[in-house]
Amino acid sequence: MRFLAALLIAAAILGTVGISQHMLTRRVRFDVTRDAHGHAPVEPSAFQHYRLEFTPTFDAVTDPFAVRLDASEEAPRLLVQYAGEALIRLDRDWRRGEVVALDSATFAGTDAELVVQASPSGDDSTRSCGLRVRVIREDGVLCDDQTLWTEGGGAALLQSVMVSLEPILEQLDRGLGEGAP
Amino acid sequence: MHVMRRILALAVAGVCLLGSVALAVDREPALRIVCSTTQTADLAREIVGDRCEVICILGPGVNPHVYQPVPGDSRLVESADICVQNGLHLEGKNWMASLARDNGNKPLVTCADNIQPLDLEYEGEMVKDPHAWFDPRNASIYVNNILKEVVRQDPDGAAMYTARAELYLQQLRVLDGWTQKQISRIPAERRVLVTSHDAFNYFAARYGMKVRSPVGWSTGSEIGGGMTPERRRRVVSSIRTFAVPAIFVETSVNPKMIREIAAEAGVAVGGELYSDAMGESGSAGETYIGMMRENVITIVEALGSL
Repeated sequence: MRFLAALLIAAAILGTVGISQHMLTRRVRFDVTRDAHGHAPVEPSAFQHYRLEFTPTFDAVTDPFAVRLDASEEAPRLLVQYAGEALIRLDRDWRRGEVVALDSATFAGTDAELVVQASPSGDDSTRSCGLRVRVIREDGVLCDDQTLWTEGGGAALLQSVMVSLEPILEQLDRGLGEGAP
Repeated sequence: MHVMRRILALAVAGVCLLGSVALAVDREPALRIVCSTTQTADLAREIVGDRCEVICILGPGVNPHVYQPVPGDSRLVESADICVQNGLHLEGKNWMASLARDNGNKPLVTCADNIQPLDLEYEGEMVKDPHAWFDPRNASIYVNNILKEVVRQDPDGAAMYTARAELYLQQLRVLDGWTQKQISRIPAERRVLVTSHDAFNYFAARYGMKVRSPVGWSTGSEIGGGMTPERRRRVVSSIRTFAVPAIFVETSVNPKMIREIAAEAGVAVGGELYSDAMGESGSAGETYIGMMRENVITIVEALGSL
């Protein structure tokens, strides 16, 4: 009787472990017409072209604290990534006030998350350094204008920033006012 | 009934044994990395985490300039997938490179490769200063050199190694900025670092300090080492000229000489600095960042007080 009870308990334990393992490792069916958040895919017609502008208040140099698997490769002065892909990679020295722009960035939706990385030179590294980011729609309408700041103390600029892809209303108003007959 | 219990106990023991074997197999390290110095071992550990086994030949406080390898070191290196050394003759008579070559010609990472070495003059000869890790930007090069070889040997772990390295390099960046800020608390005329041997040239160059040492760059007698009366006289003279309030002993060097110089020059011993080796396990200086932090705090405390 005891042996039977032990067998039953063992079977119950094994069964529970098996079911939990199955639940943990089961294949999840994805709905290809929806993304991970349940949103329908964006239609190609929804994509628009934007101009991205970056202007530093510091001289950017190669980052001495960058990962470099190839010793001959220098770290970029400016790296802008979107969805894990590099949109801009600037490999030359970058002076304060100099605008670096990308004319044909393609986005869809109301905003986009950019990862921006730049490294101030030694002379600039001890103070807070700013980087102005502007997003301009292909028809010339300003959609976003913000400045990212380092914390000073030698910190590099490494930030994830959400930029708006919709026109700034104040700018639209001003534009209409100026262009009105 | 007893027989049944025994069978049941044996079955349970068997399952436990199999389980532990399976766990042991599961935890087999991807690589075995044998490092010469405590600093290089710490940097390697930061990159590989628990995926690899990192072993250090030198213990805390042991001087790499004068270390003599023992048979156990050969066995360690023989079992290694990668060997890591500082280079630039920090390891006296290149003992780590010899061990790697003589025990299966193991892949050897020389951390100081690609740095801009500082030249030191000693008795009319120029030697390369091996203490490059005292500039965190050089430590960053050390990290990249180790990362490159680890990724080459274990490409499956590349993403994980790179992610760890990225985080660690950010920590080095913070250390560098913090150190600049701390050193700025010392009046400019007092930024003179007198230590047992010339280990702090990279630190001094990075943070705007002058260094004086009575021994030269090596604490041994193999290459350019040894105290001379002329050096000692210059050090005492520098202490008086700059009105330095304190001088420092090092954890891996006999402090006797520095204490004598302090008495002769009439200054205090400001404390112990980690130089060629990091601190004991459990101490504040047991990691690279920890030893740098403790050194900076000791220096600023001793030289910064008015």
